[in-house]
Formats: sequence, C-alpha cells, structure tokens
Amino acid sequence: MSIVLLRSLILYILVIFAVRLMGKRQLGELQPSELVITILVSNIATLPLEDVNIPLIVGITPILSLVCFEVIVSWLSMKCTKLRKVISGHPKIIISGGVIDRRVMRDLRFSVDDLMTALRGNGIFRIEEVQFAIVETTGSISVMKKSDNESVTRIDMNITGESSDPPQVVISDGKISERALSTAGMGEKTLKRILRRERLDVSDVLIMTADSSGRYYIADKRGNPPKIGGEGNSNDKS
Amino acid sequence: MTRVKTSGIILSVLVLLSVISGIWVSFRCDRLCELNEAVRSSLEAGDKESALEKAAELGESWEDFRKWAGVMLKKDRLSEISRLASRIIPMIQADSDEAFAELDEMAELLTLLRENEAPLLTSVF
Repeated sequence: MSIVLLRSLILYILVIFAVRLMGKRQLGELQPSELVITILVSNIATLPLEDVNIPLIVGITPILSLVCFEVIVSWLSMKCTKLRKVISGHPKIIISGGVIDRRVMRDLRFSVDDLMTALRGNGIFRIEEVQFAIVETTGSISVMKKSDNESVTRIDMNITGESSDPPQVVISDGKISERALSTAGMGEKTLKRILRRERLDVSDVLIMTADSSGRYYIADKRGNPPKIGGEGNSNDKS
Repeated sequence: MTRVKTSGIILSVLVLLSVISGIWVSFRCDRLCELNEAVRSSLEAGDKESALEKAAELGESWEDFRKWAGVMLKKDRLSEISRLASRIIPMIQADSDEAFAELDEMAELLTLLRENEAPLLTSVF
C-alpha cells in the first residue's frame, strides 16, 4: 500500500508539472490537440497506479513526452501559419450579415439545435439579433450583434470616462503583496494610512483591493461590512 | 520560450535515456544468452561441475540484471525468466533432461525481451 501511496504522490507532482508546462488555458478554450493531450495524460497517469507491476517510468515517459511534443508543436504553430491550419484548423463564419450559411453548418456537422444552444450560451435568444457569428477552432461560437441590438456605450451617449486598470489585491489574508501595491501605484505609507483611518491592522484584513485611481475595498476577518473608499489619484510610491 | 526550452531539454533527456536503456538491455540479454549457451554446452559435454558453475554465474547475472531492469520493464515478463533461472541448478543437480528445455525457454524469453526493447517496426506496432 505504501508503494501505491508513493506512486500517487509522484504522479500527482508529475501531472501538476505537466499541466503547468502546457501553460494557462481554460478547459473550454483548449485547441483540439490540447484537449486530446489533457485526456491522454489523465488516463496514462492511472496505469501505474492501478497496477504495481507496471514500472513508474511507463507512466512518466509518455506523460512527459506528450506534453513536451504539445508545447513544441504549439510553438511551431505560432511560427508557421500552415502548420497552425493543419493542427487547429481555422475559424468558420456560420452567420454573415444575418444570413445563416448552411454549407458551413453541414461542414461542421452543426444542427439547428446546436446553433441555437451556442447562441443562447452567448446570451442571445433571438437569432434576428445576430449580425455575425464565427465558430472558433476551439468549437465555441463568437457572436456580434446587429448595431440596433447592441448595448448603449458611453461613446453613443457622448459621455467621456477615465479608463483605469483593474483593482489589485494588495492584502490577502493578512499579508501585503508588494507587487500588487506597486501595480496599483500605491505606497506602503498610503496603505497604512488608509488602514489607520479605517481602524484596522494589516493582520485584521481578509482582502483589500486598490486601483490606480485610489479607490479601495477592505473586507476584514471579523465579517464586518466591507469598507469602500477613495484616496484620490494615488500614484504615490511612499 | 522558457517552456519550449524546458520541453526540448526534457525530450532530449528522454530520448537519451531510452537509447541508453535499449543498449543496456540488449547488451545484458546478449551476455545472459551467452552464459545460457555455455551452460548448455557444458551439459551436452557431460561436464556437470562446469555446468553448475556456469549456471550459478547465469543466476547471479540474471539477478543483477533483474534488479535494475525492474525499473523499466514489466515485472511479469521478468518473473517468468526468474522462475526458469531458479530451476536450472536443481535440475542439473538432479541430472534431469528437462534442464535443456528450461535453458531453451530461457534463451527464447531473453531474445524476446531484447527484441521488444529494440525500436523495431514489429515491436513498435
């Protein structure tokens, strides 16, 4: 039993390493080859666990080699358009100018139900709202609505707004993140000043976010209502 | 780029290890087959003492090989050969004719083991 336990630990570390080596992609955005590798790796990893007669190297070698092939092939695909087309295919336009292309639907073996399901997944319940729809190489559908059906934006209403970067988590579970502080353009002195004003210590904070415009959000560990405020445009590195 | 380089290094290491392990298995199986043949020749010549000596050497060599081969080869393949290797000396001591059959079977399994580890079309497919 100890052998199975040790093997489980080794294979767990290996699979985590393999997934990290492949890089960051969400499951729904995997290319077909990446999806195949992910499934294969999980199946191969179980072989040495199920049967102790199988040497561990019989699991480790295919996992590492498949993942390495995938990384190298995806790098080559990035450099070579032809190879990318062979491995991943190319996106296909299924609705253009509001007109459904039946030939593309036939090529993709997409039924009407599949199309409606994909549109509903994009929050579209009326097909007449769609100007343009593309089936991506991952199988997902990207949709552009007709301009009459698009949401109103600030530009449409002639309202200007200041663009700001997303807020950073500057304190997480009582610990300050120097990198996040720097990205948010906030100095440690400013941070401590805010905390003093809110009558909190760093160790009392569950989560604090701040952005470059000086706005902050603080949730403490005691479960009190969150504190939301602003420090003006902080780009203060003190 | 780091991932690509890391992948390249890992693949190179795997290729190198597989070449080395293939050569090592082939070399050791050839050596074991030679010892097997030596035992057989001694038995055919009627030299029981020499046969026993060479059979002991064969057994030791096999045990040494099996210990390390277990890291990369399936244990059921190795245990079959272990079973045969352990029977040779008692059979020679008992002057049993079945010793020849055991030696032949062992030689065949060693050849199969060597061929299965070589990257030939027949073993890949």
